[in-house]
Amino acid sequence: MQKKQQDKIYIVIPAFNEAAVLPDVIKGIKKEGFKNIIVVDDGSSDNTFEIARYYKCLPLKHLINRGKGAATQTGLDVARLMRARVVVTIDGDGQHDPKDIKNLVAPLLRNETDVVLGCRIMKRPQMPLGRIVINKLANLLIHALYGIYVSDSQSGFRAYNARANSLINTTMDRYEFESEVLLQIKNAKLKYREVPIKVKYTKYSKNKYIGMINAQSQNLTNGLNMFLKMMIKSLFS
Amino acid sequence: MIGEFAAYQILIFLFASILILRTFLLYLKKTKSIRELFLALFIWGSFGALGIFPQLSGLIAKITGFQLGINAIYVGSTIFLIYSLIKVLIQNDRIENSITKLVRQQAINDFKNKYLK
Repeated sequence: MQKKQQDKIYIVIPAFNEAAVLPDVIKGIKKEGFKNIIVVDDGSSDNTFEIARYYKCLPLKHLINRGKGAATQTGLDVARLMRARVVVTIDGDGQHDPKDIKNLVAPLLRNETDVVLGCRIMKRPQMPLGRIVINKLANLLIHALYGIYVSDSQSGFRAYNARANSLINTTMDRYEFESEVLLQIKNAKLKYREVPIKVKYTKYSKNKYIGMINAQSQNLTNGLNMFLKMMIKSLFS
Repeated sequence: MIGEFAAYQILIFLFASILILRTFLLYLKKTKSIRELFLALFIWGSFGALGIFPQLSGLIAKITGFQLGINAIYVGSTIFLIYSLIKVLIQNDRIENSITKLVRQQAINDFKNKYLK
């Protein structure tokens, strides 16, 4: 990839209390040649923000925690301000492999599509069986509710071209964000492609996920939550 | 009993009247719309009227096809409670969205001041 192209690529990391792993995530991304890293500290109580500044990222700080969706949307907005040609969103807990960024970005640079969705390989032993079943059910639910079928509806590792980034504008603050993006991709008739990605289930990321209560059923409830919220809003607002 | 009314009937009537008066004052202060005033008049007015004239529930039951007045009150109250709950949820969602907007805008403004000036 040419340096000129890389200069127009921005990586967005929504981060909430990720000080323990954020340095490795940033270093991994930089090692792949991507220098424009937007870190959105979502009201952390640790020194996530200072770490982002120390590693010469573009740091933003939410004064209070508003959720992964809100933090990601802030990052996408800033990437738009910076006139990014391509924006990649990657989780801050280190579960995604920065080496996959190039695979996500390539179809966008060739103007083949508008959005690239990173899809975790849903096979054992890469993923625990329980998570495979729940993810598949979540995909079916998203398909039934929104009419869009993707093989990993809840992955946060995604890439957008400038057009997609200008059209996608989400309102869901928390983890329903990933589902809302899919709905907006469909409504805006954006072209999308799926690319396999590797995921590292570290002890850290697993603990963090479990800490978010009911980890196994979360994917399913995300899609359903968003559907209910949208239905109630349209009927009673 | 106070006159021909039981104490609870008077209390219900007073409660409904206070709420109607409050909404009316808020309407005069322009913090409530005419729609909200009419809604309050209808809901709390019905509530107060049913308190003073409980036999009205029999009439409502007759009109709506319920066999007993008390059934009409149960169903009406349940619908009203569900509606109120949904309204509260929507309002809560709106407040959450407004907070998020403020927090995000503030973060972006800080960023602009530092990096885009």
